[in-house]
Amino acid sequence: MAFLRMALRNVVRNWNRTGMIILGMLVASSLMTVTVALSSGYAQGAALSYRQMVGADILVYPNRFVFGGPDDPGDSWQWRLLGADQPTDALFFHPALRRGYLSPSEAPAAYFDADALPAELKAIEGVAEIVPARLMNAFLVAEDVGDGSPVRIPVTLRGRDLALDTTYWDIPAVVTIGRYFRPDQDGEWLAILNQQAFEMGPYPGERLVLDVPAVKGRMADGSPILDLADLKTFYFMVYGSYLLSLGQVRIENAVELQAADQGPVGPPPTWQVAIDEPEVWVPAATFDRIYEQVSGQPFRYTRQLCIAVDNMFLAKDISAALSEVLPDATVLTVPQEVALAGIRYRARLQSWDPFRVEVVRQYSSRPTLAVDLKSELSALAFVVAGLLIVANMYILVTQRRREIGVLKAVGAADRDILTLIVTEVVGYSLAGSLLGFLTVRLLTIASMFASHESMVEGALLTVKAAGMVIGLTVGTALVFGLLPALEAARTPSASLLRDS
Amino acid sequence: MVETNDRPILRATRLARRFPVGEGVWALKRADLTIARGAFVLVTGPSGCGKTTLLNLLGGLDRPTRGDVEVGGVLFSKLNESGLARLRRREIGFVFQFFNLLADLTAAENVELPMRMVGLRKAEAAKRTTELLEAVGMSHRARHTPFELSGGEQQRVAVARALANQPSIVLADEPTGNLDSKNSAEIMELFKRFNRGTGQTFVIVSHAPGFADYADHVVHMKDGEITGIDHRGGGRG
Repeated sequence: MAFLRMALRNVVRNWNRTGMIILGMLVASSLMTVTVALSSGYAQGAALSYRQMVGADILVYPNRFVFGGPDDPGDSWQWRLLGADQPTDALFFHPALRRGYLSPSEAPAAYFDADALPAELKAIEGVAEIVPARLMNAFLVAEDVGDGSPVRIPVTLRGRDLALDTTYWDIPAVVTIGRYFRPDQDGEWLAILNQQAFEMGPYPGERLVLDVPAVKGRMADGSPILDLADLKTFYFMVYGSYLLSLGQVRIENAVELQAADQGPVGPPPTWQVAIDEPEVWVPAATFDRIYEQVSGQPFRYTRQLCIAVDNMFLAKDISAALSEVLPDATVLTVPQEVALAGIRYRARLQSWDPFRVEVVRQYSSRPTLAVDLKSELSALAFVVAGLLIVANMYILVTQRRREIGVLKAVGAADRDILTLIVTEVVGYSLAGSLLGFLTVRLLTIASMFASHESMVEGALLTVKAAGMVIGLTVGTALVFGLLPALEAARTPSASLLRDS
Repeated sequence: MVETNDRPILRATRLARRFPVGEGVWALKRADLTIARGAFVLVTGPSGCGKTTLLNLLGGLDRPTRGDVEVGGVLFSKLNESGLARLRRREIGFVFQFFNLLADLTAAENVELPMRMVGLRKAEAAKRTTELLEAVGMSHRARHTPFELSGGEQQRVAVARALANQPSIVLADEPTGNLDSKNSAEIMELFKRFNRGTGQTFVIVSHAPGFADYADHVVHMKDGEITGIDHRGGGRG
């Protein structure tokens, strides 16, 4: 106890030393925190998009994309809130999120029934524009110029209804190369590509190879479960490419547009709706056929409602409001808290049917870019942070060899010396790592408040991350504080006093 | 064998210490010494003759290459490190040339530390600390840290710390080496006073020739060996 008290007294009294060591620990743990947030957070964020596909009924998303529908009897409609003129920071950091959702919506009006929307939903501010859509994740197979092995580029496969094309969208105006579909080609294996995203081929007339994830089943609500481990290959003739540039397409209120007897309405298009993303458009009936082949069932839309809001704080309010009016629906704010999503996801796993659980697990275990980042960037940052801690601890102990020598001379045993050092090391490293974690966390939250941007990074700093950072910092400090302390404790007092 | 008395508290037998520097240096070649309880012994000799090495070995701060030390009938060679630490804690007090007070502790806390290490209760330790600081004339500086004390004052506190657990033996290595003559004399007087008052054994290493007058016995060393001993019969003070 005497040494425990002495250690605590040392920490409190020697402010210069305490300050310097804690500062070092703070920097190290901040570095670790950022690394953990970027690496595991990125991975979680990327995986989250797919989890949403089989997860929540309603997504509340900061700023943009929206889809789905609650209580859908089957094939009736999908919803989307527009405004996707710029990618959000979330999409910048987590492009996989973008690939997982519909962007422009192009389903025939027959699938869409605005009247089916619950009145409460329409009453919530922010749920305004809703259109049907078709979407499927796919992979464009390209040959790598390096070693010739095939490379799969993630793309979004969109079912494009030709009637909508010709009626509401001034397709000839946006197609700059090649041609566009004709109504009589609906159901044929044709595709047009986003020229913006594919600067090099395939060109019109060439063959396009697409790998489409098999649909292994459905959730209880009818949503498809995509099996990314089981890809089905399809060959298309590239019929043309399109290029959307700013000022060409305007979508103001798709509900009104579609309700207005499908006629061309409103002012000339002025917005870019297709962002620079790889995407492949096929005729709507072709899309249905693809879906039927990979699922063995008629096409059914995923049933999620996504709501775009200006910032994450508003998203949380809306999320709460939605939960209130739709108590049976799972409302998820993306990326409200990735950890929260993870917790819900895990909690839901317990009750999901085994097949659904397996699909998610398969995807979760798949190596991704994020995992690569984690292994390399994390290793680098952790080495730097670790060196900081090691240096700190080494200095803490080696500068005090004389003190240790004196303590031994007055009767301190090895155990007492270790108690003293361990207590100080734990004190310093706990305080430093906690402060480091909180610093990064607070700075992130402050910047989110200031910018009204999404809370992606902030949200990623979870309790688990805190535990990881603090545990690693304290653990490293303990190991590298104990080694010189052990050495000093075992050195005869006379040597310690003489050497120092 | 050089003996100071036939009632020994400390006995060194064929004590030798070799340091592994280069081909090896014998800092202490052979020392046979028996010191009686209550003796005041001065170990003297030229610089580098092995005085400090001998003192470190006598106090269990270092392990000998050969030979053994016995304190109060306990052989150091029979003790492991924690046993030796326990023995140092209760039976031996040290005073160093550079004082070696713990910088983060006040004078009182420095004195109190050895008492707390043997499990003395806070109140008892505080009471004895006050007595000791009064005895060394430092009670008015109890709450000062070492940085706020002069060299002479620090050494007085160090003496109080060495006496904290009422050890049988106090070993002092050049205790006046960093002090002026006035402070040196005061420290030696202090040692002598405690030696007479408590009957504790004092072994003091110094090459200051004037201090021989304080000693009952003066041990002379040269080239790592004890060359002789003067029995002076009580010394000054």
